Amino acid sequence: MSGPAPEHDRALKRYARLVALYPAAHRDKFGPQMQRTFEDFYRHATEGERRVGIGFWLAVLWDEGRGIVRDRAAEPQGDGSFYALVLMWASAVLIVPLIPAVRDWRNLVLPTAVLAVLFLAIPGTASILRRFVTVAVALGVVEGMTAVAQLMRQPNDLLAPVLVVTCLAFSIKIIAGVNARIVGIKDSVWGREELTYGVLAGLAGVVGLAFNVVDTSDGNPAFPVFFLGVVPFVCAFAGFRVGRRMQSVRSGIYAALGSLMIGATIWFLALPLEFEGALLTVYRGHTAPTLLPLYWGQPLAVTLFWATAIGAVGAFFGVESTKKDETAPQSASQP
Amino acid sequence: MHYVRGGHIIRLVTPSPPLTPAVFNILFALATGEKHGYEIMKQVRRDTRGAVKMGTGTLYGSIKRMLADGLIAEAGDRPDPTLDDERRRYYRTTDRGNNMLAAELQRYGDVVSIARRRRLMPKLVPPHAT
Repeated sequence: MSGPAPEHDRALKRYARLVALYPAAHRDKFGPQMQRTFEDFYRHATEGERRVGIGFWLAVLWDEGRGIVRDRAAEPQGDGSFYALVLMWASAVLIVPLIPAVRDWRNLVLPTAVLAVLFLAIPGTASILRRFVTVAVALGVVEGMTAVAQLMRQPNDLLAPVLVVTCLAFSIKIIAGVNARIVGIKDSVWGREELTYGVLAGLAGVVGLAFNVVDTSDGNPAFPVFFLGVVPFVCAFAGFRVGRRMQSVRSGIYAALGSLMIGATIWFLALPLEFEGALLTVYRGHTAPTLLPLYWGQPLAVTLFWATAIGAVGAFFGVESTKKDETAPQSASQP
Repeated sequence: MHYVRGGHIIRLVTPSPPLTPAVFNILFALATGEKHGYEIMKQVRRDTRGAVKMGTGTLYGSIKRMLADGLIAEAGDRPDPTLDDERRRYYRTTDRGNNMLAAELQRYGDVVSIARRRRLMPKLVPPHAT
């Protein structure tokens, strides 16, 4: 394979994503021409051994950005879906970094509700009924646990991790949905793979926790083996499957992360049962600063980043394996 | 463009507001013949000696408005369809576009002649002298 070809393809794909942000009417009429013109322009800019740098892309971004805003503003009907898209992005991007910074963990109820509403509105193939069911289940768990905690009249910090997981899960699905809309692919809310591998990851995590209950010594290898070995590989397999089906590495990563989030919810629900033998008791009395390293710093963050990395590898191989499948019959039929 | 007033034929020098720089440059580039998008970009760059580097977004935003205003039209036949990418579209100026360009050039010419009379014109350096 020659050197510059993948870079050339990547540049054209990047530009196609920019063109996809134009209003539909403009995109349909001028999109192919614009891509062809950009191809000529890019080829000229990279003639010989020349390479384009960040300056080239900033100039393209500036020029296209102005064109997109101007065209959107000139749309007679305003093209509300685009503004809704921008609003969702902005809201998701604003809320996500705030989650670990919230001092009182119960304040996460509001971002959870906001994200749930955004989740209902994201573009995608899933029906509104399926979305409502997902939101109802997530919020039902949170509300149910709040009610039980109030009945017990005791502070209960188990809500914190459940809310974090719910917020992150909604955020991932919102970003995945918006991404799907921008790049023009179809995406589902919770795919079969995500659910299946999420449950498997959750069960693997519970098994890992169970070993830790039996042997609480620091040298117990079961916990890292399960949380850094088994669980991320289960998620990576979800990435592989979805990457293969959707022909998109990014969709595969989202699937891996979605599976991890489903799995994480199961671990958090199982934690108090395993350690204390009862729901809603284990974290009583803990304050937010001590919960932050417990949930965010130790198992979840490391597992999250590791699962993302390995999920990306899985998704990449998923996409590549389909390419091989596509080329194999052609080469076989050639004399 | 002309119209009759009081029995006299009067030449209408400025039938419309001045053209935007992008529209003027595109009309000027197409005045020498029909071209596709990248050819227009290159021609604009040549005509302005590199001072104007028109991006794809600006080009097609302008083309869209110019088509709507009837200043340009899509050329029916491509020079060689077998050798050319079917995504490429060629554009040509319309009569209205030619009139607008002529009016704009007339406006520029008038400004230049007034500037000369008032001795406001700087000494122009020929492009090949530098």
